[in-house]
Amino acid sequence: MLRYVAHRLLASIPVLFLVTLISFGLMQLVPGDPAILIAGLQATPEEVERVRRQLGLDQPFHVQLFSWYAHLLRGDLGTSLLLGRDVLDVILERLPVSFSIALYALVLTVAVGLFAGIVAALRQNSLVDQLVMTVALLGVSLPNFWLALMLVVLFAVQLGWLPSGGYVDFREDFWGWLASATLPAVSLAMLQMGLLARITRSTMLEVLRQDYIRTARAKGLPARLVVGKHALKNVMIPVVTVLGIVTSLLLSGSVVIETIFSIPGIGSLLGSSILRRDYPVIQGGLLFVAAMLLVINLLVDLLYAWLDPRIRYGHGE
Amino acid sequence: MTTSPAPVLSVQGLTTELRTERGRFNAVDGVSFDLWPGEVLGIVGESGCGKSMTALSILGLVPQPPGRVVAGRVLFEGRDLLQLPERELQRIRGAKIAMIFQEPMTSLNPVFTVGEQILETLRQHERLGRRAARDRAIELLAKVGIPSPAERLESYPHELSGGMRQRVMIAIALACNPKVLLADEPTTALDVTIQAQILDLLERLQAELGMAVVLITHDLGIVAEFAHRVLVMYAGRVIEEGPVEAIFEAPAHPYTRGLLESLPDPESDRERLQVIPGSVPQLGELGPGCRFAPRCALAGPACRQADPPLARAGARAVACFRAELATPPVERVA
Amino acid sequence: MASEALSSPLDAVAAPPRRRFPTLRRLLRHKLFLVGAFLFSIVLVAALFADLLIQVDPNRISMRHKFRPPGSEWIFGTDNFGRSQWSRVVKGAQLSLAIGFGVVLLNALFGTLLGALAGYFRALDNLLMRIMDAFMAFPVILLAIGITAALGPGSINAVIALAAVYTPRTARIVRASVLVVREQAYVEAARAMGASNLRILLRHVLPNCTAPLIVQLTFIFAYSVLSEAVLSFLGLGAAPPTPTWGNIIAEGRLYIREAPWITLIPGLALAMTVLGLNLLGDGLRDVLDPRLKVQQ
Repeated sequence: MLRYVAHRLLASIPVLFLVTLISFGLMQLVPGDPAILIAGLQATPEEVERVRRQLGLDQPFHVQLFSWYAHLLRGDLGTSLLLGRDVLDVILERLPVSFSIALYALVLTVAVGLFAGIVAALRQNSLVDQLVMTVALLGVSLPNFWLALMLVVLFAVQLGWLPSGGYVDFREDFWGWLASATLPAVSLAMLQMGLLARITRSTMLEVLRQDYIRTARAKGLPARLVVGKHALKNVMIPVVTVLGIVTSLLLSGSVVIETIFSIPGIGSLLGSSILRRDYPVIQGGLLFVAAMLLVINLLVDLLYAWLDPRIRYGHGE
Repeated sequence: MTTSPAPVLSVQGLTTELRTERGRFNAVDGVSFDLWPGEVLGIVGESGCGKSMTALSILGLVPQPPGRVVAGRVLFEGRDLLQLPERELQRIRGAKIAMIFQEPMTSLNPVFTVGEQILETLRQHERLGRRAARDRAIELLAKVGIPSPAERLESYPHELSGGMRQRVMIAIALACNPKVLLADEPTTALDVTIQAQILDLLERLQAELGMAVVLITHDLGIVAEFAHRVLVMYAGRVIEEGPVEAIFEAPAHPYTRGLLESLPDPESDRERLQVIPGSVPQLGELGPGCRFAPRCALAGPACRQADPPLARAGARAVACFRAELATPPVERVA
Repeated sequence: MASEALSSPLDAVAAPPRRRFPTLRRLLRHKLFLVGAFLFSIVLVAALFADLLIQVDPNRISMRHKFRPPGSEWIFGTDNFGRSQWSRVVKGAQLSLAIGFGVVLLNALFGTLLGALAGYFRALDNLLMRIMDAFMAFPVILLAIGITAALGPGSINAVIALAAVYTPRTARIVRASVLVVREQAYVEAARAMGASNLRILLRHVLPNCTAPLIVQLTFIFAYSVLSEAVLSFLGLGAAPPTPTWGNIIAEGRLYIREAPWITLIPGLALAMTVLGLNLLGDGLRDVLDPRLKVQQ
């Protein structure tokens, strides 16, 4: 187990290095003179020059790269051009907001997706199965930002049950938070719920055909144990492996969803930085999210190893 | 022959239907046999002849869909297993009638320890304390010849060899001292040397525990060595039945003869093995006649018009219109 | 033992009768594939014949006709500038499919190239795959946003960004297939007969990777259409007034109370396209690549 953890940890180091390199490289993609673009067309030459110096754009490539890493090692992701504040500070300040919504969506995804997938598999080809699979297919096909708008029209504008936007801090008012976070979390979770339900169903059907399920039945175990114990633990293995992808999709969706619901999280920070060309925020935000995902994937790997003894004992890859 | 008053298991007219894309057909078609206490009954036939499906049907384990038992009775301890509700059947499975399978590599659940997989069977059927159950599990592993059984309880299936896994499967099957053991190709997936060990183990345990065994195999050599009686199946039907020695001495059905001739015979100087021409019919496309007729050298017009019934004479039975042509005249059957 | 002697006469199975185009037949029997084909072809026809289907210029402003609901005069209604929603949505279909197709094309090209290189030449494998891993460490949309934000908004840049984001995923799938195929006996045989690496790759390895590739590209098409809509919703796609489904929704959002159809209709068009492609992908996977079978 320890060897496995160490192996995973070591393997993620080069990836993390490349991730920082890609984040740096993004700035190099900016065509023409980034300083003019950033400062704006109306800017005076002095202002452009100030931006150029502030971003270190007047330095040669290797010096820029070196200084990028020198700052990174000190935990410095740069300074926001618009807010004039440290990018990491801004991100950390907004992290709990994004985290609370993402966690809510993740819980919804796993609870609903897993349950629906299992029920559909156990009642294969029944009406319930077809209904679940249709909804799941719609879930992976409907654009989440559009779905969010439709939910707002229905639940906020027409029915008036839930707020159409804004955010209440969960530390101050939990129920207020729940009300403000429900529509965003549901719109954010739809895609992953559908994905997970589909994967769970097909995995469950696969597992139910396995010889060891027949053995469990031949032993005289009741269906409750055959499904709830023997099948479920095997279903969880592939399901856990997609949790990394699921989280990645959640973070992807958070940009539009937080923008639509005016939630002051990392997603809306990125969303608003795009059009204003606040490159340090985009760069730093991307790097932060990617690094966070690497950590989450590491945790998923550990969960996977804990579930599957074949991995835990170093057999197979 | 056995003189016991009643068979421990009596299968009567068992018929199991399979639905496939090509339509429905009976994978098991009116199979009947009695299993006597303490007996080893071999069921032979090639893959797809319905022998495994017969065993699964007895315990209500036919995967559904595509399969379904549509007719027949399976009498055990005075009750028809096919009529029992699922809960009652669960009390019999693994406790009074146990089953072991062909694939030891995949028949154990990879994510639970060997100990857990034995203990859960004990927990399900017997009231034992924690300590007692563990002792019983260790005792079972020792009985099936697994070294250092106490440590093996903590092992996962992937840490064991195929032969060891099959021993674990046997230990699970024997956990509650079953009256009947259904062994479905228990050695097919194993190396030849391991095959012999497992068969010896089964034979020893069978004698020791006095249980009746149904040994399903495609290997006539195994039948000759271990079974008392044999049932030959072809395309879902029983086509010949009788004591092993008698059938090996004088097979009545041309198919049985074909099977025996395709066995390598160390005492004969025959260079080439005999081969039965043709292949098993697609079960969906059966004509009205004898199912073996298309491949049978002796088949006449009658054979293509009606399916011969299983005719009994003493301990033997055969389903063939031309049985007297296939048998030496001394042992006329039917 | 006797088993081997027995298996020869007994295990022979009669070969099923061969039919022509078995894959096509199976696809045509796959109901959901047909539904997907139907949905997608509606969008495809709209895109291909956009200019014939449109009577009113999608950018013609007519304030007299603003906020007309869908009806006999304006099929899909009008927006806040009185522009024909029908014209704009049909034009949007054209752009959406063009972008999706562009991404698929680039994906097929670079995904196959990188995947084949990594799978076939072990020396390159580790380096290439680590780079792919690094790209895949970023959430899809976020990286696409980062790239388009740097390159500047626009359709071409959106295609480049989405291709860059999805190519590593395609490469991984090609690589996995190549790894399986390169161990096959016929590849060994070709190598033993002195075929060059390039020849083996082109003649033997790649043709056997097409099934998973086709399935993957169908899904990439779906994701690209969806992601492009997100980018243009955020203002990173084609600049207004050029209509894209994403920017129509973004504009309509401001008038969602009084004119919900402005948002509703392009969303439905988008959903229909993505659903159609997903169904096509599911069907192709069921038929072409049964190992990955997700039962419908």
